[in-house]
Amino acid sequence: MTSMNAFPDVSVLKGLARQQLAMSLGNFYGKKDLVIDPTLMTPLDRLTGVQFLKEKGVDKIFKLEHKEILGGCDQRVYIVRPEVKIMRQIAAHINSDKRAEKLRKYRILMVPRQLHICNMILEQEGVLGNTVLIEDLHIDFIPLDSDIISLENPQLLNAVFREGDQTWLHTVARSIVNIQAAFGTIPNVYGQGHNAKIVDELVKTLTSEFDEKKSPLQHQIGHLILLDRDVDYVTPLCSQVTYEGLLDDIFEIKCGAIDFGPEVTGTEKSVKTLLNSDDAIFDQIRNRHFTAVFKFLSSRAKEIQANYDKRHNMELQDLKNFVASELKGLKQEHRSLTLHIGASEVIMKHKTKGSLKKGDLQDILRIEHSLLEGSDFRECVVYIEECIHRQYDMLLTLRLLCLLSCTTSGLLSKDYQNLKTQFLHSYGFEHMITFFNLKKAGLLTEAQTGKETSIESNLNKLADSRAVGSAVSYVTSSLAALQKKDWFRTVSKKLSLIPKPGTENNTHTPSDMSYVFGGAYVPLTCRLVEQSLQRQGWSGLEDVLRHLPGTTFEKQEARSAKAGKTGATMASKVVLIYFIGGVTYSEIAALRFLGRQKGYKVLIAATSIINGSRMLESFVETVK
Amino acid sequence: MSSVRFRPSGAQPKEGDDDYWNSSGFKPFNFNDDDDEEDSIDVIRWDGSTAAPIRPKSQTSLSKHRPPVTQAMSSPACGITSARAYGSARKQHFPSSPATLPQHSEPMTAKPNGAARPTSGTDQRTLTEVVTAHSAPTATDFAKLETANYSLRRQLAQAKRDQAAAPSKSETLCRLITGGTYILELYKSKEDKAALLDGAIQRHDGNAILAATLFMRDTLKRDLFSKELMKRAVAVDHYCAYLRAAGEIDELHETLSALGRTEEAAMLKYRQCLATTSASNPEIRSSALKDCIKYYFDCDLRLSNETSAIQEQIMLMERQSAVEDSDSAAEKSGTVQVFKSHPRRDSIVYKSVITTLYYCCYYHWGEAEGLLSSPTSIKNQHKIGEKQFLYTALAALCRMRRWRDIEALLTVPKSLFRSARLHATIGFDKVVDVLSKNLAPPDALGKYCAEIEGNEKRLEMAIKLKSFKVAIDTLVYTKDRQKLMAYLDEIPQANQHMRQYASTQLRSQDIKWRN
Repeated sequence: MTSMNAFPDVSVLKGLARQQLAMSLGNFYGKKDLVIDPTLMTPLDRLTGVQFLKEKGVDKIFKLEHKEILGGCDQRVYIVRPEVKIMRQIAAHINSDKRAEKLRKYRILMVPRQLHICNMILEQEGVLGNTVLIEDLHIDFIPLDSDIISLENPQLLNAVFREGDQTWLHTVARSIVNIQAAFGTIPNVYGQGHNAKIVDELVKTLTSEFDEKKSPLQHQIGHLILLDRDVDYVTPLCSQVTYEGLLDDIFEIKCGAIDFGPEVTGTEKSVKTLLNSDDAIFDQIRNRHFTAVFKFLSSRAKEIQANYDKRHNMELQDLKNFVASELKGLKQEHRSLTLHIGASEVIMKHKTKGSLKKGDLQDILRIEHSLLEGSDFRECVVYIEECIHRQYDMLLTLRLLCLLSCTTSGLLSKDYQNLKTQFLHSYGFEHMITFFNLKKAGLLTEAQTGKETSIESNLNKLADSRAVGSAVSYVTSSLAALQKKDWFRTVSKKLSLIPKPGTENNTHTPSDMSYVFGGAYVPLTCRLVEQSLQRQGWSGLEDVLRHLPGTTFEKQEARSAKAGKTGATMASKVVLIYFIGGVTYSEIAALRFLGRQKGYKVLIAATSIINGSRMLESFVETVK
Repeated sequence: MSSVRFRPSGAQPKEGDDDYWNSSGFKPFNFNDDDDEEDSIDVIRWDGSTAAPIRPKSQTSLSKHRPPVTQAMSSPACGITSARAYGSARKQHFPSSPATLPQHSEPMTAKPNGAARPTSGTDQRTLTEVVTAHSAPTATDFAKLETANYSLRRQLAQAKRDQAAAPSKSETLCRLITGGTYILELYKSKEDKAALLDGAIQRHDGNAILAATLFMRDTLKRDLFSKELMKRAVAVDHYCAYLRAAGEIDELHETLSALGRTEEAAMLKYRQCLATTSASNPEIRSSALKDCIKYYFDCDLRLSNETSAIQEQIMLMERQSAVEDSDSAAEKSGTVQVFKSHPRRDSIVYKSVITTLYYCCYYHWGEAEGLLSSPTSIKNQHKIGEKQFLYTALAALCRMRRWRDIEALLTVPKSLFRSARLHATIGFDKVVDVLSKNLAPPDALGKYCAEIEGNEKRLEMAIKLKSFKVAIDTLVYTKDRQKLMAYLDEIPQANQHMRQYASTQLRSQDIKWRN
């Protein structure tokens, strides 16, 4: 356990997860093969290594695929997410073993818990029995850095926000229960969003059902802020311009690690490296606006060179010390510097040149800024049309389309149909399903003006009169909630998300959070965090919050109890911010900035780390 | 390490051993401070932090009810997760109907497995433990068997007692949520089932909601189930998500239709139609799509846009398959020059309209509109806008290096009042951009670069593309001597011609320089 008042040491969570795994594997005595769900590969990589698994008796490691696994020993462990498709694959494996009269023992470890339907499917497929044992493998948070923890569960976004399936919210709640068990019960909770509310209630239920006593530990975290992703779809739809954000947009950061290809390394090999605060150079530049990165790197390069050069005029004794103590560190810095300079160069190329399938980043940024400000609407539409006409990368086009829709609270019917037709021509008719999915998630919608509503509603009535049952179309009802007219404009004005023109924001020494988008926009989520901390709740913000989707809630500890404890003052400066549906690196950078500025220690939790492309990818139709 | 070795001390000191284990909970592990054994350390931390408050309860309840043998086997169960542990603890209070028993005894039948389980710790322990577990039933320790026997009797009796009354619904829900064992089949009345579902919805656990819903589906008459389901929107969402995941498309479609969600239902059928025909030929797919329109789209006026899109898709597929057939035949015959010099990469079947248009611009430019492969005919049939057509045609013609066709495309023919001139709806800056990104050589670009409207834009583009003449002309036009002088340095020495040109302009007396 960490000392009482320190920042919560999230590496404890990693230890816990490792123990879970060690125990589950240890319980299955003897040599065994491991079959891993592809989506769990990287997260498991972060927690363990091959060495660790070998020590636990793992012989061969396979990736779970829809085909037979050849060979392997007579015991097999599956580590999987509890999903129907995966259960069928496992059942197919077991049944094919049975047909081949191969005797094998199986363990199915479900991360983070087994579900009724999984057991049902396995039963239906006729594979349950003495040789098959199902267990929970309770792994939730993967610490990606000292201040970021993630469930690494990107499918949650689609399931929760499109399908309305709450199953994964249990995992979210459970992860909070575990956090509270490790770092004390969090006294103040603020939340915004339909699902945030559910999670908060589930936390209460689980705490009482598990009979968890109010944790005896002195709490190390003073505030928990729960936010739904659909409160702010705008932020992830913007191109990122912080260094870490750009790395994620261009190279894709997977579970805190990145693969730099030959274009970065300048050699033939690609290099896989972990991106976290252990890398001193990276730690210095990750949150900076990209324009401030290069200068830092070049000055640092000079310093390193100077340090290297020191050795030329050294006495022998000093040289020995130098080699023993400094050289290794220097070499490490050197290596990391080389990589980051290489990466910056590639980013520069992307920024100015553009390519056949991607527009110039500068053009895109200009359009995004206009959309955020709400100016030059026609120019934006024309640019998006150009993206469609030139068959730019589909996710880029979709991202701009969604941003257009989100910032204007739905497109006018004429524009919507027009853009949709052109889009389908360019990218394929099957994407009318993508449009439907995005509509259902509230990302790309068709605003209903007065006139059309009457026609529409007549049609609706017509259709409804034929339909049985009382439930109104889910789509229309969920849309109604989103169709508060121009809510983004209203909210952005009330929370002053768009800095006034003329207030020069220096991207080198930023003065407010908008620097993460080049001074054009303060992420809505981050502003909400700032406000709720400042006000110790939502009071006074009702006027803004009623424009946002979902419900608002807050829970505070009694003020009197707070005064008595000594550690409480320290803890009251520690904030856990939980993003249900994912968080972007830009938001992380803004929150880190907020923490430094206001003296808070910020711990960020999320169901996954997202960016615009990854967020949209889960809604894109893949049938060809 | 030393403490760990106490545990597998064989059959004799079992009682004492168990007492020791019960009373002190998991403490013995705590001795084990040396870091060389990964596992044992793990246990400490885990206990200490997460599961501490749960553990003692399950431990004590187990020790009260269970004789040593079962103890040895159930304790591992709580070693697995706190959730399971709690579930099994509760089981003791409500050992339900006989239906539970097979499940209860499952760990026993799976003896070798079960025996291996307590070994969560180290490997040495495991081995001994296995031996112990094997020897236990056949051991001479008669008393032990008797206690086991007693326990089972007791459990049976309790189970029989409980058969009459199912555990309370909240208890079952709790087990569903915490991962315990539960039996839904005990709830017979419709009201109970509905209450179970309502309870699950109230507790917001997707797993429980779905379990209760599926249980209702399996045990209630179809229309009763539908009626109950429709009343609960949250349950509907979960049910639909499940149906989608499980691939029960027909049931999903029926449910959605019953709810009046025709758009979603139609989309589902459309998707299914594409998915099942993705490997078949266009004829099969197009007839399937026609059926799809007939049955699922035509009935709802709100879907008219989608309907016409699918009709377009069918027309496109017919075109693609005809063009594909004739082109692949032509390619095979080896007589058509263009397919030799520019071999076809991929079939166009099932590609998008614009991709098809690009293909036809590439291979079939200038064909008469009556032919299916004619770009103009595609443009007209799908009502492709002028801009989009231009973007696509430019890119394709540029790749083919057909400069004269590009020129013709961008020329407005001579009319009564005006001579022929260049014109592009997308603006010449875009024309140049498209051409340069499709790797057009500088001399092909210069002509269009000069056409860009706006001096600044033209200058910027000309500098970027190293179109020296246009840049110099623009600077001369804007009378910007300073810039032109600076620009002279950027023209490479090799290009003497252009350097000469710039110098001549600089020396020219006819220009009134601004600076």
